[in-house]
Amino acid sequence: MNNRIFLKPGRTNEEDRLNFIKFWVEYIKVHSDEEWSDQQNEVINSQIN
Amino acid sequence: MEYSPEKREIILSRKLNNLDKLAIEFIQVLEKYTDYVIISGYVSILLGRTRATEDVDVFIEKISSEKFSKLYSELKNAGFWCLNAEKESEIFSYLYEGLAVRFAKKGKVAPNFEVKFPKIDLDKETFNDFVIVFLKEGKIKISSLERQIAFKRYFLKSEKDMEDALHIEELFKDQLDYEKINNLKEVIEKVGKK
Repeated sequence: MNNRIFLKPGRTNEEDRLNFIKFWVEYIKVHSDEEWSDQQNEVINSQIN
Repeated sequence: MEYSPEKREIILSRKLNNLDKLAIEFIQVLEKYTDYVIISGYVSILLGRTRATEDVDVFIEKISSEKFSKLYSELKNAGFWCLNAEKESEIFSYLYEGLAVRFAKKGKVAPNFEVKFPKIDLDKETFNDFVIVFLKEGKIKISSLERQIAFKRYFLKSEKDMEDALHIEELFKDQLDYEKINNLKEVIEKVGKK
């Protein structure tokens, strides 16, 4: 748990969105394709049947 | 995810979502009849962006009406329909006019595949500036990462496109050819002024 990466809150909506993109990319880099895609698929499959 | 710029390939062991499955199904029909390249939003989604899309943009190499007839017939057999017209000649004439035509699963309108012939040299170059994404279940040809970033950042420019460009850049930043991105930026800006 000590290696956790934290998401920096943005001061504007735009900054917050951009921070999340960078945070998510770091997540992708340190987790397996299967692990991150499982989460991404929840987002996509909820919109596309 | 492993990217090899020299081999122009990405090895991706991701689990497929419904959009990926549909894209592979569509491409497997398409590539029997013509060369193709996936461009724009779906590329960043395939590479991990956490957003959905209503359409997948595809360039296809120009084909004859005879070949298009076979392609359309097989798409219909695979359960796709065209949102722009039903008559084969009408769909083909749209393509030849330089317009995009959309295909979705029969009875649905989204998600759909926006298919078009390349119009200008910048579009045509995409067929020689690609990366193949290898998945366990198939492969998908996408335009190069530098081209994706340049088009999204300097041509499309919406908030969503800027975010897609950032995603790709952050993901592959140590392997990108920034000179190529700058060169494409110049060309795109010249085209934009015409």
